Amino acid sequence: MSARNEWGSTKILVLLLLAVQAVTVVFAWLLNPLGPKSETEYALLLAVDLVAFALISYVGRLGGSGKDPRESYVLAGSAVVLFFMFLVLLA
Amino acid sequence: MGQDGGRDQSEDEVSRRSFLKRSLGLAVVFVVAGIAAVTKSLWTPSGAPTGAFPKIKVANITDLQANGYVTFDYPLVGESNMIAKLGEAATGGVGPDGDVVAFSIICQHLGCIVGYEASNSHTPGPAGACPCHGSVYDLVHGAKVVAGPAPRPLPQVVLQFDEATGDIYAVGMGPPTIFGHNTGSPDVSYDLQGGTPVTQ
Amino acid sequence: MGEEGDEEHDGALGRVARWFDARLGLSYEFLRPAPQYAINPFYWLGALAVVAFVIQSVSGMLMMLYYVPDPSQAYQSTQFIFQNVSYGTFLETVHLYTAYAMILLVFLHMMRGYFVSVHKKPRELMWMTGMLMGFVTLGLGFTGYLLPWTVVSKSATDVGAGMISALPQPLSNFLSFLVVGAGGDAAELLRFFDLHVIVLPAILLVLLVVKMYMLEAHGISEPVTGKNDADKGRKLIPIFPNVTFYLAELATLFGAAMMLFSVLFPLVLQPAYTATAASHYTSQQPDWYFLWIYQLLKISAFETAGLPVALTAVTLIFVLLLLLPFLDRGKVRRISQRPLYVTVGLVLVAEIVVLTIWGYLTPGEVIPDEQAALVLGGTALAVVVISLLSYRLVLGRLVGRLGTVSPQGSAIRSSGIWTAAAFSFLLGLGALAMGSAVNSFTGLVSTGGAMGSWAYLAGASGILAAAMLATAYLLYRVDLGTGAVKRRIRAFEVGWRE
Repeated sequence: MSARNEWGSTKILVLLLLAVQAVTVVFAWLLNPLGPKSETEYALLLAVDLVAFALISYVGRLGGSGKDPRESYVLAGSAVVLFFMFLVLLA
Repeated sequence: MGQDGGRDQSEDEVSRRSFLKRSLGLAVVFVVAGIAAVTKSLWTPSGAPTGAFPKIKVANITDLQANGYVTFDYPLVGESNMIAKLGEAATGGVGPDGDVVAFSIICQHLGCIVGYEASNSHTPGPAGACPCHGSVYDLVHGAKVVAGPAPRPLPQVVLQFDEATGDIYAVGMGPPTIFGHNTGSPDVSYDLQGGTPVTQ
Repeated sequence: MGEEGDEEHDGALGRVARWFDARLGLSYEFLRPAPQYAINPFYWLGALAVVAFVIQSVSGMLMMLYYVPDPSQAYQSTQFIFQNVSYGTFLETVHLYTAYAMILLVFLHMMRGYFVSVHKKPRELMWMTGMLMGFVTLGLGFTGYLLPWTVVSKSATDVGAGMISALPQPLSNFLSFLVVGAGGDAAELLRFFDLHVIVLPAILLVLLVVKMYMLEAHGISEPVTGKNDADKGRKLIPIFPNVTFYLAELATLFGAAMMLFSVLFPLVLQPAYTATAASHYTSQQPDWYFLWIYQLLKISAFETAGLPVALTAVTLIFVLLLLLPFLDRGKVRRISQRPLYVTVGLVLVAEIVVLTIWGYLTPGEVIPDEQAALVLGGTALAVVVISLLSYRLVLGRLVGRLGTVSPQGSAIRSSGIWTAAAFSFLLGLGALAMGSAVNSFTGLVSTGGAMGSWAYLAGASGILAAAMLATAYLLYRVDLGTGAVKRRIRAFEVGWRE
């Protein structure tokens, strides 16, 4: 079974991802839907939302059946989320 | 699954699984909510196609002397605009000196008709001054508000200048919308709703 | 699902869930559990194609509220969606790129199934249903492409409609009426719209249900690589929640990839179709997924022989694929034991890719026969050689570890066949290379040194040199020498057993 502190960091990761999801959903609804810039922003926000979900689902699916999530996947997923969020700021 | 080891471990298991289950459920809700935002395409009214702005001849360059102005209806019948030759190059200006501009003169505050002033204490050049509550618009700089309670600039009429004949045409409206047409929206297609378009 | 679940389901949420479960039958085991080896993206290419179809349906339905399928309003209404509908550009962009993704996924799904032999007993009908679904998907792409009524799309569709009319009667009449109607742009557009929006999706859904039923009946096909033979690979996983969430992960990652594409390659509406604009547009060609067919039709032999001959040839490819289960009837499923069909499959993929890229490089040009033979023949030869060589090397190294190798496998290892094949190949390659070297040399001399011809000459000469060297080596291997060199240089022993 995973050690306690590993579970703690997983818990934090999941909560962070949920927070990121919440923020993207709020922004997606607040966007002014007309104009090319907002379309790009919406696409990126949705991308963040989706990848965050995929990561939570991966952790949840493996955590629930007792296996450890693969660290490389978690890191890659988090990197993609951060990258998309960075793109949102750029757009 | 979680029954090996002591009671502590299985309690941990249960609470961990419960946490993951709830998080997963919440994550699904967020995904659905995020995707659902695209349905805004359904209920945010979209207005008429932008290609539908009428093109009318407003005046000829020779009719406009410096600091004189002409009123005309655009894009709907009964909605007044003013075209003026300001005497100095202005934002969105057409003509040989780049100083011919046109704006809606329905005040963005409460809809009174804005008057033209060749000079005004608040502006470097000609201004639009509303008699009702004192809003002043700087016509040289896109009719931005320089005094008074108006919350946004006057909508500018998009003009086209025919060099061969000297005719000036109105071909569209810039944002924001004319007062009374979903006031405050950047979507100028609202300007075409709720009335009869002018014809030449 | 067992005991530990009950504690969590006592709250209000749990009661609601149980209420629905009792009435909707949610916990009824509708889909059988999946084996552990199915948690692998390659097994889900088909499912992702369905996800793409769902995305298409949702975005399509939202756009359908604004689009008008009449030639006088088609372009304006599309433009309206782009400019005036909230998230209109987003809908259009996502719809286009997901369409491309769906076609690509369907192709990958088919090739993956081909290589792991899913078309063998008992899944032959699943393969054929899948091929029909593939045709419908291509049809969806074809019909959708016309709807914006731009110069590019109308011209491309005219090419396609022209091809339909070149088919033999009465097939041509029937298909033309089905697709184009009584004639005229308005009838054509309306038919395309109806096909795209309801007829083809309905057919696709019916075929999907049929295929899913068969999938449930047969189960997910077993892996052929030998790695998952251990029991661990066959451990069953319940569909809900584990497999469902795995699919959700794949689907959301796919969706995110589509979003990234939409952002990186924003879509701009092409100019509208007018007769005059179309007459100036000479390089019309179909969209990329049909380009390989179009490229084949541009070969001058097909141009002169006539369209029906060319189309028959192309149709033959599709028919052969459709009937694959009846062509490839061996029981053998492992990739290592099917060198012939695996090689044919690789050649097919390589040719389609080469034709597509070539199509982009030569818009509107007729392809001379020699060039076609060189490119297509060369690709096929190269792939065949690499494939058979890999079989040779891999099988040679792994013999003993694989256990029994089928008779087909040991025939491939017999040197006699290899020598003969190598000689034939080198002869053919040498001839081709010599021919193209001479061709490009004379071209250079007569027309002057264009960059392309120099590269061509260099390439042909290089291949010719390689062929000559390989022939020399082969002669040496057949021991026309004294054998002294062979004794001293062990490296030359790899793969050969004389």
